[in-house]
Amino acid sequence: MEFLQIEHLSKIYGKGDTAVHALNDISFTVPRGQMCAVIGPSGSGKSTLLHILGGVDKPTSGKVWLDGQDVYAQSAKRLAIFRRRQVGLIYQFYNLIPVLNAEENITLPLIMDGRKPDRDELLKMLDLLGLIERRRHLPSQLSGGQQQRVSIGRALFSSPAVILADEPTGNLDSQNSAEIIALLRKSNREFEQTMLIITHDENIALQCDRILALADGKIVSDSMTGV
Amino acid sequence: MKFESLLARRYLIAQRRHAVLTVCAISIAVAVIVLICTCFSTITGIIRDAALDQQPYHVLVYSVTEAQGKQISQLNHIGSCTLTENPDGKTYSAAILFDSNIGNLNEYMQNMERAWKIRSEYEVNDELVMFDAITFDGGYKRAVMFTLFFIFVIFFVLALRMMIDTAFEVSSKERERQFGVLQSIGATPKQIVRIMTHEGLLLSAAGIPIGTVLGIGLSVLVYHGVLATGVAETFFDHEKMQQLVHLHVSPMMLLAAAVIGFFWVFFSAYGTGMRVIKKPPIQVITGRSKSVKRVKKHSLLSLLFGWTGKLASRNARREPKRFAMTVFALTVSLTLFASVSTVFGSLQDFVQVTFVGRDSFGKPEWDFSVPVRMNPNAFHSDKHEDPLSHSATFQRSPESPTAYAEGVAELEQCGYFKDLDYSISLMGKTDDTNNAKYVYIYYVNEGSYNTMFEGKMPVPFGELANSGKAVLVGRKQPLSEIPVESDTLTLTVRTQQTADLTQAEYQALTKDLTEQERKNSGKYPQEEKQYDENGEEIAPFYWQVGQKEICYDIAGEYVMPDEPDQFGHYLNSIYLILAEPCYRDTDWKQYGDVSFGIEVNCNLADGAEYMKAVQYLQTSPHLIYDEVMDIYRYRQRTRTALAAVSVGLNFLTALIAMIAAVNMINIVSTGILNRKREFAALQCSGMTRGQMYRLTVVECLQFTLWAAIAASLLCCLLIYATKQFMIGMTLTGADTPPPVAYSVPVLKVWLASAAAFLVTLLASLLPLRRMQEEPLAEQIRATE
Ligand SMILES: Nc1ncnc2c1ncn2[C@@H]1O[C@H](COP(=O)(O)OP(=O)(O)OP(=O)(O)O)[C@@H](O)[C@H]1O
Ligand SMILES: [Mg+2]
Repeated sequence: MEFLQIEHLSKIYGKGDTAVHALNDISFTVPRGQMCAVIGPSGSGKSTLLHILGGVDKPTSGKVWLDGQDVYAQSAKRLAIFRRRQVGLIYQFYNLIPVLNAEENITLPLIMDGRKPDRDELLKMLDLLGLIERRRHLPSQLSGGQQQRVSIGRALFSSPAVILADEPTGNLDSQNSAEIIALLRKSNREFEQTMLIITHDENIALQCDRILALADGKIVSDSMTGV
Repeated sequence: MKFESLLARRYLIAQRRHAVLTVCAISIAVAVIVLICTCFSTITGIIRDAALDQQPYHVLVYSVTEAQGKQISQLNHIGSCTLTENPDGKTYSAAILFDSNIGNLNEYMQNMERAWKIRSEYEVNDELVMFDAITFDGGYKRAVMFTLFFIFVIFFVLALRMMIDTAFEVSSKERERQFGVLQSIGATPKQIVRIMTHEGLLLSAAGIPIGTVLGIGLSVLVYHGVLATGVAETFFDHEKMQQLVHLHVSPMMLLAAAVIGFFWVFFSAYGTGMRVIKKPPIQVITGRSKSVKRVKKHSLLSLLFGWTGKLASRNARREPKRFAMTVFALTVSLTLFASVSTVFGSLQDFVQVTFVGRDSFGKPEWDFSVPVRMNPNAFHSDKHEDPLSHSATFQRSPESPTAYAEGVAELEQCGYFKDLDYSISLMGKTDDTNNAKYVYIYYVNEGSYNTMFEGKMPVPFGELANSGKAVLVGRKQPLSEIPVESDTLTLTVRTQQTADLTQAEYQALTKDLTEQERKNSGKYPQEEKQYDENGEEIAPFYWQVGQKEICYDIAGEYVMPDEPDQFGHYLNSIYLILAEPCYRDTDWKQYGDVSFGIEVNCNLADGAEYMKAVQYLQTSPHLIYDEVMDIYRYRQRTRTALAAVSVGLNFLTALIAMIAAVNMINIVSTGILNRKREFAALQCSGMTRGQMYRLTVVECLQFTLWAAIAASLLCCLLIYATKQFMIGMTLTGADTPPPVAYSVPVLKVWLASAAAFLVTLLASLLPLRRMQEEPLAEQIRATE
């Protein structure tokens, strides 16, 4: 069994004539350590897929296996711990905790797990993200790009097995987005992390190992880039 | 626990305003519970102390020896045993107070009797035994009492909770979103709930002490308010009041209030946490509900207010639960307010009519009704305290029965009374054997005459007195049946005559009568032998009841209006009114010489002199032959009792209004702040401030309009149900309170709604204005 295995996944919003098939019977697998780009037109179901893989949404039908574990067969508590330890989610709209500063937001998953964040590692991460100066600032005091970097930091800091990123560079200039992708790539190599990155940027997609293309809730192409 | 408490604290600080409101809500709720508990412990405490004061023992053993008394005090459970010497000078009565529960009292007393060979009856102070839970039975009764009280408290707590719950709820969607994010990065449901409960703990740590102090303060305030109405004086005299009436603040009750408050906050917090974790995180984050709803094209508001109305009604629909909660809370408050004040208003009218009633002529009652002796010297003997019981010996008055005038004059001159009103009443009937009509014959004084006709007298009093004629009074129909011929009316009138009897005459008259008949006939047996000038033994007197035909000259007629009295009855009586001076001068001779006295109705000249007036009456036995009817005091008592109830109810209503206001302010202002970003976005896309204010006004109107309609319907339903209930009980005649018109509470509902509208408007416009001070860009970025 592959590290990440998706079987006949469907997600339907609403009922009757207003029903939306956001995902329509999708199946695919991703081996450990693969960095995979997900592309497709707006409304094709990319975000939905990512949320279901990250354990924050429920599929209407189908199964998600991660490291041999049926994700949605777990209790609510196990699912939360799964999210905390196995998954790093980077949202299209950051989703930071407004009452915590940058540093606290980044270390939150670790603290929730009852672990103590390593000071040096935190500083290294902040440095990598270019947030050293801003580490005591609240999200409302940061720019969109800075907020995005905080959310990336939060996802990477506990070095989870899977990173799921929804347009992580959507708010960044090309210089910055290149740095972020490099950062993700480095983390991917270092910790053998499996990654799914949603992007509209062809350059970024081409830097990944594999490109999955979605349209109308279905996989329309699946190709290796040969990087 | 560390991060949960960190987040809880940060959220509290970030949402300061909300936190303060929640603390307010908790404080008020705890204060209300403390107030209710303190009221309960004060009332029961006073009753208990009064029981102890009247009978200062749990058990009183009637007769023991001194040695036995000493032995008793050595027993288990005995708190104190006080011996008092009995009148026989040998034995003592032992007043026993226990200090703990003795289980079965009978067994205990039997054991005591057996052990000390006490042969004595004993008496139990059941009330005190119950309040102190001295026996198993007493303890059980007290437990029942406390349970009933706590059921009442629980009901109140539930009602309060329902209204304030919204304050604690994470009403802000933004906040819920945060929990979604936390869950998505791995917070377990337990941790989410823990953040909420931690917040609850912090809030109750502030709210409960404040509430307790506030509650005690309120209790003191209410206590003094109630005392100021003088309600305590109706139960206790001044000295007893000093001793018995004081506020009882029970630590156990305070603890109970605090515990109730704590659990309440805890469950509120817990419930909110649970509600958040039930949904998948992403659904909470994106704030989209699962079901896709169709939006109605037209609504009442959009028709009335165009697109502003449409936007407002869409907003209500967006959070239907919250909207429903707001309207519900407001409806409950409005209904409670209107029905409580209406019911109380009609109750007050009812009491006014029933207790502070009116006499048969429809005039207000008097302050006092003083029975003045016919003769200040008659019956002035300790032996004859109860002349009406017929068991006393009567001494015939040696003077004329018109001597009451002296008593009246004294009453008039003492200066404590005014508006003296009195009459000598007799009974007569028309001489028609088949269809005899009874006529009341009244000799009235000038004051009485004037008030009776309220200025519409057919003949002036002076003229009536001079001519010695009479005025005939009655409703048209009964009057027409009275046979008045050429201005004269002949009546058969009851007379009462006394005569001296010799012993022999007395025996002859009474020999066939039983003792009872003898008394009833007014023939009295001799108790002390008396002798006339000739040394002949005489019986005191012989009281003869007879009839006499008397012809009255009619000076005029007065037709009473053909309307029912306040109880719906039509008066059929006929009155013959004459001037009192005529009775005093000549007419008394026609009616005989027996009379005990007259009732003088009068008012207090000066309310401040009440005590002096009462003292005067009490120390004038030569004046008064029977108990004085102190209507003034009675009315005053009724008024103070009403005042106490009204203070209580008004306080409750104020409390309801306050809770409702806090609740409304909270709901509406958080509603505004939650949509900070949205308002900013609307403004960015060209909405003017005026339009935005208009939007909020329409929204507030929406809340209050629905609540007012719902509350009106509810009130009408309540009145309808009450009416049906009353009909079911077949309460007719004088006992039925005046029916409540439907319009009364509905009007109150709408007035209160108008007030609520202003409050909500203020609650939404103030945060909106404050928001305006920030630049738009700030508003869009920031969350509270
Ligand atoms: N909660 C929801 N209720 C109803 N429909 C939804 C919901 N969430 C998503 N959808 C619908 O599901 C479809 C897929 O949405 P999704 O967010 O996955 O698209 P996407 O590929 O991420 O688009 P984008 O590139 O614009 O972010 C869309 O048509 C969307 O309207
Ligand atoms: Mg998307």
